[in-house]
Amino acid sequence: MALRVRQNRNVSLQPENVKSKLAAKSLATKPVGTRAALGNISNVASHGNAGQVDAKKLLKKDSKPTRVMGKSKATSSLQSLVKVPEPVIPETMSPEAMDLDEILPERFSRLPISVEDIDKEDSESPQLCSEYVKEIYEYMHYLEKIYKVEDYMESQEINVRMRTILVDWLVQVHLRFHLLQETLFLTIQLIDRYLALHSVSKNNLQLVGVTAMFIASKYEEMYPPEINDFVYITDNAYTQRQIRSTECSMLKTLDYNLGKPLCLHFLRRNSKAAGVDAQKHTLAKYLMELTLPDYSFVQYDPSEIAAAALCASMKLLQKDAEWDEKMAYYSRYNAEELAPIVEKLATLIMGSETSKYQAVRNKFASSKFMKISTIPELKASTVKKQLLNS
Amino acid sequence: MQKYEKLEKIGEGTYGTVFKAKNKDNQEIVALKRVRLDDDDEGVPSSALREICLLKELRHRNIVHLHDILHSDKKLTLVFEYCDQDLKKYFDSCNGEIDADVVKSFMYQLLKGLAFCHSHHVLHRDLKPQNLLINKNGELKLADFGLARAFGIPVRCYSAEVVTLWYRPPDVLFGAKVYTTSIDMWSAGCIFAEMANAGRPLFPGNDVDDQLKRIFKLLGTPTEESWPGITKLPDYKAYPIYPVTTPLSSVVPTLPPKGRDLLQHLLVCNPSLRMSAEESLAQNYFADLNATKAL
Repeated sequence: MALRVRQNRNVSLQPENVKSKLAAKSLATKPVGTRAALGNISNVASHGNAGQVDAKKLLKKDSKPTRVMGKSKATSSLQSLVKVPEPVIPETMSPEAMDLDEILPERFSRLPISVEDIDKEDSESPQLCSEYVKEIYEYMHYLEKIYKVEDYMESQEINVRMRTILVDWLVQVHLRFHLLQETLFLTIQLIDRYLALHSVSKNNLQLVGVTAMFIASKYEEMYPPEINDFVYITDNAYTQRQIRSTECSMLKTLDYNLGKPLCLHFLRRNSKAAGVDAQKHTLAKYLMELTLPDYSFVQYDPSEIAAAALCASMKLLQKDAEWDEKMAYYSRYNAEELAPIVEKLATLIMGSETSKYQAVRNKFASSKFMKISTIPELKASTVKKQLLNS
Repeated sequence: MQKYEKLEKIGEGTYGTVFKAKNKDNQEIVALKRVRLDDDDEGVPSSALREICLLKELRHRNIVHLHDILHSDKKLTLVFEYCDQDLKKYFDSCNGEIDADVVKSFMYQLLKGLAFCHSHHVLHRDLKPQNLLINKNGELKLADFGLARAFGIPVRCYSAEVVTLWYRPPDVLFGAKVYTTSIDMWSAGCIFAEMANAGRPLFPGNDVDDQLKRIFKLLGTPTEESWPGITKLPDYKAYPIYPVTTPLSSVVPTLPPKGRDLLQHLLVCNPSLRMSAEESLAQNYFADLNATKAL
């Protein structure tokens, strides 16, 4: 399997090859599938110089989704014939009766006086959801505990190296498909949660990988790639039917719970609390992504990885940076709790240059990511000094 | 062996057909939503995937309960609790008259369900009377999460093609792709007015342009002053400045002043000034609900 994955990577990730094939295919096909969520979308696929147009951009530009109204016009229907009994005023109206408490194990603890409320200025910015933000993060911390992944390698036919090869390959596929960051993290999370509950043969590991990305795309993306794109990217190693049946198996095994939070969600919160600049935030993102191919990080909760990544990033880029009380409050981990993970991150960074698996590092060497993986602060000597105090 | 016996077809959801059915084990009546999975398709539709996943998380008495999922290669069936009718059908049976207490109770339950969604980072994005189910105990439940999605913070861009026209807020009508819980609050306001008028929709527009005109004629045309950033929205175009001539009291004559006050706070064009579900529940309008219960 190891061989097979690698071989596929070589074969099907030739950039031109993939891109033109993808674009051509998308153009050739019909209206864009049945996007039930959006109603009827018709894709006017009659554009010239098609070869160069990126498949996804094309979709975005040309699809004119229209929602068909489910209701006949105007309500002339007031005089209906059917007489239905008046509803009784429910007994359930008392505010106490329907509180959220039964789901949330504990209410958000009150802000300590010494900690600044980072949301108080946000009531005018609706996209920050200041009203619900504390409750939502409380809920996310609750969810990540429920879906904790236990060590599964012992009971699997696959090994750590195969997982690394798979993730490294998926990082490249993700980049090629121009998908959202959330989709990548969700993909890897689905793979690990599935492997923790279901044994998978070497030959099917890559199938699980692409199917996870197929599911994650449908969950996260506005315009997910089509099933055929995933067949293609494996160089036809698997059929559509196999992907569909693996989808069914994965969804059943995970009991359709795709809502475990991602470290990205927590990083944004932490970065806001720390008030860090784009470089520190991007470095933290890079570190989080570097952990994906490394199985030893699966044991940690997303919020732990998010906190450790930002903590490491701050220390690397700013000599006097401190993980203070405010950061401990908002991330829920103090500096001591994070120390072992930060140490592991240091080892990871130092090994990254010579590692065989370069997908993440190459990706973050592009200007889109501020060439963050190439900055001098990531040299072993600096990392040792700043993160390992040696 | 089939566990459920189909009784009759109820309707069509955002995706899939809905049937009334009976659980043969315990005689319980349920609603089945069936999605066919064809040989050449994309597996589980993303709308079904999101609906299942979100409803599994959202356990609340004002949100329809998903009992079970039957998944085979050929079809996917969602087993829901059965509700007798939806709010639209309820209106049809009202003959133009609706009890003020029923309006208050339904609105309260709608807001309760919404507050639960929003605090669990879920946007419904398709609130309308057809998607609010009512059972014989007078309980109202949010249903059809086929367009719903979980949101992160800060909220990123989502599709602007959401919410049925009549219940779509002005920001989304102007093509806003960054929206948040306020999207559902506008719909809730429209539904509130429609309930108060026993089923006469508040803004039954024919198209986006007509929809915006109807809204602005009632509420006044928003300006860069009342809504900073409005002119930057993707599909913004200038509308005549309509003076506000019709007071809400003549739009929803049966709604008491406190109810009108709540409505006024929900029907705010600028999304950042629109009232949230949580705040709405704390309004004076609902203050006597406990007293009603005691009767």
